[in-house]
Order: sequence, then structure tokens, then C-alpha cells
Amino acid sequence: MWQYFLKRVFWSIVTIFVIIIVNFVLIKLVPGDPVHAMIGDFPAPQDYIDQLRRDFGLDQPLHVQLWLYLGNLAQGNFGFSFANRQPVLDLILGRTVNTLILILPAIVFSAIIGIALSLAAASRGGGFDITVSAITLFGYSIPVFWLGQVLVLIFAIVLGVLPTSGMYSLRAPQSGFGAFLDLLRHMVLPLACIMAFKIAVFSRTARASILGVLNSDFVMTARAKGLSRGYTLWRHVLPNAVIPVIAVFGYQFGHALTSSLLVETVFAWPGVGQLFVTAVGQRDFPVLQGILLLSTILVVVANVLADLLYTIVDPRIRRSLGARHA
Amino acid sequence: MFKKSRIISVLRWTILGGLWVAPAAAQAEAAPQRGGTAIIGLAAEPKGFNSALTSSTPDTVAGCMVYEGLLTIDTGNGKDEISPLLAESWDVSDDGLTYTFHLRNANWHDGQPFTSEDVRYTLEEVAAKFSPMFSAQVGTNLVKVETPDKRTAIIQLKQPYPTLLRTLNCTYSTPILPAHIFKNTDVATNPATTSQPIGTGPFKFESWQRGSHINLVRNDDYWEDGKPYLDGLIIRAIPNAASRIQALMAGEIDFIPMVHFPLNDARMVESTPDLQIVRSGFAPGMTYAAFNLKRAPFNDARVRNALLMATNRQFIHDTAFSGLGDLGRAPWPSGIEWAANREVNYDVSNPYDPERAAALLDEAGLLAGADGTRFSLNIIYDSAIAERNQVANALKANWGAVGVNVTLQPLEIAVVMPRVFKEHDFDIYLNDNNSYGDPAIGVGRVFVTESIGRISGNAAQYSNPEVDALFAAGAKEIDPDKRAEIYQSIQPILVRDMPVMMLHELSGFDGAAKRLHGLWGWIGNGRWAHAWLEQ
Amino acid sequence: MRELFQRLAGSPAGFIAGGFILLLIVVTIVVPLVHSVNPMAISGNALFPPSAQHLLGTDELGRDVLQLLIHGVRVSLSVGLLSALVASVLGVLIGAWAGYFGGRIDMFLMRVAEIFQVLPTFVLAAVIVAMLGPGTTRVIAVIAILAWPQIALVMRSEVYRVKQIDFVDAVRCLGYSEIYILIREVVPNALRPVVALGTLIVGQAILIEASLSFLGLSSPDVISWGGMLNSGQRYLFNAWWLSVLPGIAIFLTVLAFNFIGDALNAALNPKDTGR
Repeated sequence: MWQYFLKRVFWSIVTIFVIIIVNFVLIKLVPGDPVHAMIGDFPAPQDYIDQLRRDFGLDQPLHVQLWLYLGNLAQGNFGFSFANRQPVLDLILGRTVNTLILILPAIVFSAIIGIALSLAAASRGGGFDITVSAITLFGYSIPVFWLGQVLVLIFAIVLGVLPTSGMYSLRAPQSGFGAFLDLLRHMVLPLACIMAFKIAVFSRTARASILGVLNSDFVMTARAKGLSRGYTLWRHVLPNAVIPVIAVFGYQFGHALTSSLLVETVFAWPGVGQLFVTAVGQRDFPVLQGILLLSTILVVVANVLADLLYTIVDPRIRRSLGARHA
Repeated sequence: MFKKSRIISVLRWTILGGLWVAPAAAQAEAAPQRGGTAIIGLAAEPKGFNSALTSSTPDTVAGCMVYEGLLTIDTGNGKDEISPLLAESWDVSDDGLTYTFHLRNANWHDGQPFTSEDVRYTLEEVAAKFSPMFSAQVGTNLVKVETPDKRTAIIQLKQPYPTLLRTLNCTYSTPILPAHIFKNTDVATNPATTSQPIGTGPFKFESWQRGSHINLVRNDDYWEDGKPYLDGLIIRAIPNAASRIQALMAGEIDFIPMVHFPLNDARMVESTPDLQIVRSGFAPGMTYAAFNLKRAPFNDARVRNALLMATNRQFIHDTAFSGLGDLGRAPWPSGIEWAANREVNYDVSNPYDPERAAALLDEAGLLAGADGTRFSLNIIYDSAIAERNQVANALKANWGAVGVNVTLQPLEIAVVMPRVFKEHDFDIYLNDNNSYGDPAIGVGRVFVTESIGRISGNAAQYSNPEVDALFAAGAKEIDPDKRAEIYQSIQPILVRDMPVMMLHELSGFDGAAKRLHGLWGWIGNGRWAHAWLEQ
Repeated sequence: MRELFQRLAGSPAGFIAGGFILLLIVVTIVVPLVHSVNPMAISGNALFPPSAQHLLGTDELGRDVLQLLIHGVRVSLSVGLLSALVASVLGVLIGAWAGYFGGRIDMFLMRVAEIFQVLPTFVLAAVIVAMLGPGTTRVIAVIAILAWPQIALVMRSEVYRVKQIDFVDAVRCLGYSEIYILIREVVPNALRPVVALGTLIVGQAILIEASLSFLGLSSPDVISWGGMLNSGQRYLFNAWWLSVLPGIAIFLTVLAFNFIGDALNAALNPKDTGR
């Protein structure tokens, strides 16, 4: 088993390294000169442009830039954002908190609601099952950014009960519990958008595994022994059905930094997603590199952890590891 | 020795009103109220606060609340006059080479006194080297800045430059910086540039929630008595244009400055009871299309003239600009009235007439093929500006109607700039241009040979020795009448040669809450020291 | 496979979903043939609400929204169908090879697939399109390159399962080559789940294309639903039809594909209706 995990960790490191190279090459191929995004509209003296180029290593050959990049990464230096006049790591980490405030509750609630819906569908069946499937299908098919716009139109503009965008009420700053309630008010609509999709993801996964468990021999046996449907669900189906959800949970958590990209844009949420969209517009190379790399690391780490958890929770997998990963 | 042209500080708020500041007339009557915090919405977060290093709008907006220039420009009631700010008054020598500034008694936000040394340091060591505008316009023409005493600063020039005063304001990249903070440091990375500005302005920096907003608070020690009225200002970044407008309409922000306020939303904002559209104090500008004169068939003046005749400027004016501003009729904005030649008018020389345009294209040998197409071209433009996309689509449809197949290439500004101005890899370039209120500063750069290859310079690569000589003469001429004559004589040449065509005469318009008053009538984003909120 | 579609068409919802997609395809092909109006033609009637003259209103340049929607079908459908097709072909080839021959190649291919799966798909797609510039072909290529691992992993396990069934050994005894057996006997029997997954990828691809366009990463020369949403979002207050209608069009189309994908899945594998 330890050998298996060492293997996993080794491949994770390879994955991260490959992605560092891929990211670097990809982003360096972007046409255009970031110096001009920095100066603005009016002609600048050549000296000044040259100085910027020297300072930021833009006049070096590509492989030298890559070498500098790798060296800097090793020291935890993700570069300096021209557009923000701030170190990239500070910039991203500063926004990460805001994104996590939005994404963590979204994932947790989506997982709970998704599992609950599919359990309820499995136990009630019939019309309820169809309704849950329909909800899931809708969440999977709706463009979230569009949903966001429609929600803003209804709740912020027409009804005027919720704010259109941002994280705080700037006009009447609150403190303590009031500030928390204020944050909640700002979170409602973006959270709804993200969850519409994530509930669908979780309920699909849970539904698949619940059906798998329901049809398995031991549940059949339990039912045959005369145990009630509800008891069987609660004691036998749920614990087994949750296991695959852990894997999805790890994956979703890993994608925390990027899954709210479109939603943050619509709601002007000051998180990583908005930073990314702005950086694409500004050709802010180091920020793009940083976000891609950090989110990749997060996905890889989350996957390994989910794997670990998965294995601990489900003894059958521990036993069959050798066969599965031959 | 000195010609006494001392200008006295006069605040002109009593005579506001007139054609384009209609709401301001009402403002003049209502008594200003103290208190409250106004919220400004921008399309991008500032990179810093130092407009001496950049002319980008977010930095200028945030920076010029905290820093101030020596002068400002009074644009109230259709005027265009240099007004005092940190300099109380000034004298100009007869030969136009010596400018003496008498400075105001003011303090920096850290309590240190503002002195002539700050002016010397800023102009000599920062603006002349780094300021995008001052370094290009004055730069090596600056001999030195003398400081005979703490309240006097004297600028010495090599050659006369009659538009010098116009460049000495914060919005146009010349904020006065505190020498005691900046001296012997790297200006670009000094915290007073990047995160902790210390100025003389009406508002002091308080905090910055990165990615969200900046808090500024009232400077109780401001040199102008009783100002500012507001307790504070919040500058908020909302990159998505739709979200920005929604925030304004929902009352979450009070003000969106021009450039960041999409003009094609103007009608919608105007029809909202609590909101107003106000013409900002920006210098006349234009939306123009530059032809790549080095490429066929744009090297043929008939083709360029034909394309202008195929263009429905009225439609562009009505849709993309919501009828705000004016139709393009001359090579540069007629808003610089003294330099406008009234004989020059596209409506006469190149009226919208697709049939004549088609005939002219036939004459140039560009006959329609079997599918009706004469030739193809691409239009390159900055993708971030919504109304420009609309203009480009209108051109595509207009020119398509006379058999020209148009491909649109909206690109990020960082890509557009080198591609158009350095590599000259484009057919048509659609852009905005700020005249900065004087042809010597903002117009000449579009046409003179010297600025070929310079960013925001001469995209068309137009080179005409006669035009070069006239622009050079105009920049140096001290006599206003002679200057006007020189510039007016350039316009007919530019219509004949048509290196660029002006599609629309731009004016800056701000979107604002109606309860915001007292702001407008000054160059830049208004004078926030005078702004007040109806409670 | 045929009975599958028959069963699908038999259920009312499946019939509607299938019919909707068929209608879109017909509209895409037929309308440009019989109707030569240029949908990009501008008019002074900007931002007209839906009326008898303009059934779905006009946009900010006075273009007819119904016309734009009809012409926009093409981009959404071609991006969806072609990228799913390319991803499926890639995934089937790679997955089949890996599943059938196993060994080091299998290891390697599956590692590559895993690395691709870890990539934050939409972010990478956005970066690539921003980098290379917009273009339908590029969008298709990017989506296909990022989507093939899903197919490959399913294909691999299916092939692995099928090749252990007795009849493969029987065929092998007849002296056919391994490649022949793989292509003629194993792959056709392993394809069914791929069809269901491929259908789901069509929906994902349409959403990705729309999202990219919404961020402004699409060509303004091409009419697309996402592009319409991008420019229409600004008129949410005074011209709701500009953003609501293309959004509904995207939603319904993706919904139809997802529905069919799910139904195929359910029909193929009654025990397990998930992914």
C-alpha cells in the first residue's frame, strides 16, 4: 500500500513538472508586448520601455526566461505582476481567500444536497426520482454566467432585495455579526449559480453509486431479510454510496480556484477568477502562469488526499489495489 | 523684463450652466452639503497612484485624488482655460522660455510643508524622465527648474513651447510628488507610488482591499478652506461592463468616469430617474480609422475617400455613441475651436453616398467580382471598449454594402499597440485619440513623420514634409493668431490625403447618480474637492 | 445500437429532445439555402422589442435577433458535434490500444490521460484561445484535446472487459492478426458507452464555446450564441430579449444533448445511470 502511495506522489510531481513546462511554453507564445499594457495610451520614451524590459527579463531568450522562471519557482517566487505592481504569489494568495469563501460552502452544500437528493430519489422513486433527475440535468445544462445575469435581473434590479455585485456593502460598512450577514447577502446569488452546477455533479455521482449499491448482493440480502427500505438505505447504502463522492469532492476542491471563474466575473467577486480574466486581458503573463500552476498543484494534492481517504474508508479498495493499478 | 500676465485665482462655479452641463446649473443654486462617501466604479483596479509614470485611467483617477498638479484646466461652460491649483499664479517671459510659478502654502499628508524643491524634483527627476506626456513633449527641452525660494519655482526651456502650461496637471501625467519621500529611491517601486501615496490633495489614502476597492478619507488639512465636502471616497473595480452599469443602476456606486462608462449604454442610464449623464471635462477627442498607406489598395487616395463616402457616420453617432458627441467632419476635433478650419467638412467633401463610393472604387480599378466582392480588408481595434466593437460592426456592414469584405479583429490593447504602431501589420486601425486640447500635444502625433513607429503615434505611416513643417511651426509659435492660421492651413491637406478619417467627434461622458453635485467643469475626472452628495 | 435509438425515440422526452436537435440541424442546413438575407445587415431599428415585424426583436445595430439566432446554431452545433467527434476518435484509438495491448504503452497513455484530466480545462482553453486568437477550428481542437481522456479511460476499460470474453479467443484461434481482432471484433463491441459519453461531451463543448464567447474570446465576424450573450448582457434592462433568448437557446440545446446522453447511458447500462 505504501508503495502505491509513493508511486502516486511520484506521478503527481511529474504531472506538476510537465504542467510547469506546458504552462510556460503556452503563455510565452501569446503575441503582444506587456510593456505597452503597463504604460497606457501616450507615447513613452524608449529609455523607459527599455528599462522595463531589462527589469523584467523580457529581452532575454526564451530558454533563459524559462530557467529564471524555474529558479524563481523553486524559491517560491512566482514573478512580479506588471499590471498590478505586486508579487504574483501575494496577488493570488490575497484573492484565494475570497474565492475560498465562495467555493468551500458551495462544494460542501452541493455535496450534502446532491447526496440527499439522490438518496431521497432512490428511496421515494417514481415521480420524485424523475424530478431529481430533471433538476440534475438542468443544472448540468444551464450556462452559469447567463443564470447569474438572470438572477441579478430578478433579485437585484427588479425586486431590489439583493446586491448586484461585490463582497461588501461599501456604503454602510458593518462590523461583527452585521458584517457577516452583509457578506452572506452578497454571497447568495453567486453561490446559487455555482451550486446549480455542482449539485448536478454530486447528485449524478451519488446516484450512480447508490444505484450500484442498491443492486448489489448484500443489499438484496438485507432487503430479503425483511429490513425496511429506509433502514437499508441509511445503514448500508449511504455509507457505501458516499465513497465515490469523496473522489469527486477531491476533484472539485482541487478546482476551487478556477471553477468560479465565470461567476466571479458576473458578480465582480474579488477572487482568483476575476484576477484571471483581467490578467488574460492585460497579457499579465506571470499571473496567468501562477494561477494555472497553483490550481494544478491544488488539484493534484487534493486528488492524492482524496485517494488516501478513499482507500482508508473503503477496505475493499485497499485489498484490490494491486489488481486495479497493475 | 516679464510681461505681466498674472492670472488671479477665480472659482467659476457661479457661472456654470449652458449647453452641455445642464445639471450643473441646478447645482450652482443648491447649497453644498457636507459629509457622505461617494463610490466610484472603474473597469480596472489601479496599478498604483502615480500618474507621472502612466496615463492609464485607473491610476490617474485614484492618484489625482491624492496628488495634485501645479495647474488644472477649467472646462466649465465651454471654456478651456488654465487655472491655478498648487501654483497660485504664474508669469511667462516675453520670449516664452521662462515660466515663474508662485506656489501655494500647502502641506503634504504627512505634515511636511510643500515647497519649490518638490516641484523641482518632480519635474526634473521624474516627469522629464518618465512621464509619458511630459517627457515626450518637454523632456530634453527642459533646461532646469530653479528654486530661488520655497514658494517660487522657475522653469527654463531651450525653445519656446506655448502649450507647456497645459501639460502641468495631474491628469496629464504631471502630479507634484513629495521630494522628501521619493528622493534617492526607485520611483516605480516607492510605496508612495505603489500603495501608500502621500500627496497634497483633498483626499488621503486610508486602505486598499486588493481586487475590490480603495478607501480614501477627507484631508482635514487641505489648503482650500472648507473643502473637500465629502468625508471620503471609495474607488471600486468592476471589470465586467454589464456588472458595472448594473451597480450604478442599483445605486451601489455613484459615479463611472468616461472611458469606463460605455457610451452605448448612455440612453439606458439617462432614462433611469436617479441617474444622469454629464459631459466630463476631458479635452476633445475623436474616434478615427487609420489606413495602412503602405498597403494596396489603401495607398490610393481614391479608395480612402471612397471608404469615407461609404461610411454612415450618422448611424455610428446614433447607435454606438447614443447620439452623444458629434459626427466626425474634419481630420481632428472641431472642439479645439481656434484651430478648426470651418471650410473643411466631410459632409461636403465626402458625404455618405454608397453609389458615389462604388463609382470611385470602380474608377480606382477595384471592380466587383462574381460574388460582388471588390477586395477584402481587416479592421483591428481594442477589444475592451464596447462602443468600438459597435463602430467596427457598422463599418463592416457599410463597407460590405459597396462590395468590400471586412474581417474584424478585436484584440487586447497590449497586442494591438505594437502590431499597429511598430510592425504596421494591419489594413484599417480603429482607435480613439485624445487631443489633450491642443493640436501640438495630441493631434500632431497622428500625422507627423517623426511619430511613425511610436506607440499611439502615426499608425497610417503618413509622411508629408509640408505637414511636418507646419506642425513643427505651430508647436513653437507664441502668437495665438499665427498659430491658429498654421493649424487651419493643415486641415485641407489632411482631407485631400486622408491618411486617417475621423468617424466621430468624442466627448467624454460620465455616468453618475443625480445626488452627486459640484464635480464637473474641470479637466480630468472633475474636481472632487468640490464634489458633494445630496443627503 | 439501432434498437437503442428506437427505444429512445419511443419515450416522449427522448422524442422531443431528438426532434429538437434534428430541427436545429435542418435549420442550419436549409435556412441559408432558401433565405438569402444577410443577418449581419444593420438597420436604424436598433433595440426594437419583439413585434410582428421582428418576431424576436432587434439588437443594438438593428439586426434581427431571430436571424442571428438561426445563424448562430451553426457555430454551437459544429463546435459541439465536431469536438465530440474528434475527442471520441482520439479517445477510442488511444483507449483501445491501451486496453487491448496493455503493458508499458498502456501505462504511458494512461498517465498522459491522467495529466490531461488534472488540467483545469476551462482555464487552459481560455488561455489557449486568448493566445492563438479566436476561431471555430481552434476552439474545436482545444476542446477535443482536453476531452479525449474521458473517452479513452472508458474505452480502455471496455476493451479490457471485452477482450477477456471467450469469443475473442475463438476468433484468435482462426488465425487473425491482433490488430484485425481489435478493430473488427473488440472495438465495435466496446463502443456503446462511448456513444453515450460522446453525446454528453457535445453538451459540454457547446457550453465551453459559449463561455469563451461570453468572455469575449470569439470572433465578431462569426455569429454565435455566446457572442450574442456577450454583447447582449449590457442591455439586460432595456432589451432583455438580447440576453434571455440566446441563453435559452444554449440551455435547450445542451439540455437536449445531455438528455439523450443520459438516456443512452441508462438504456445501455440499466444498473448504473451515472457517469
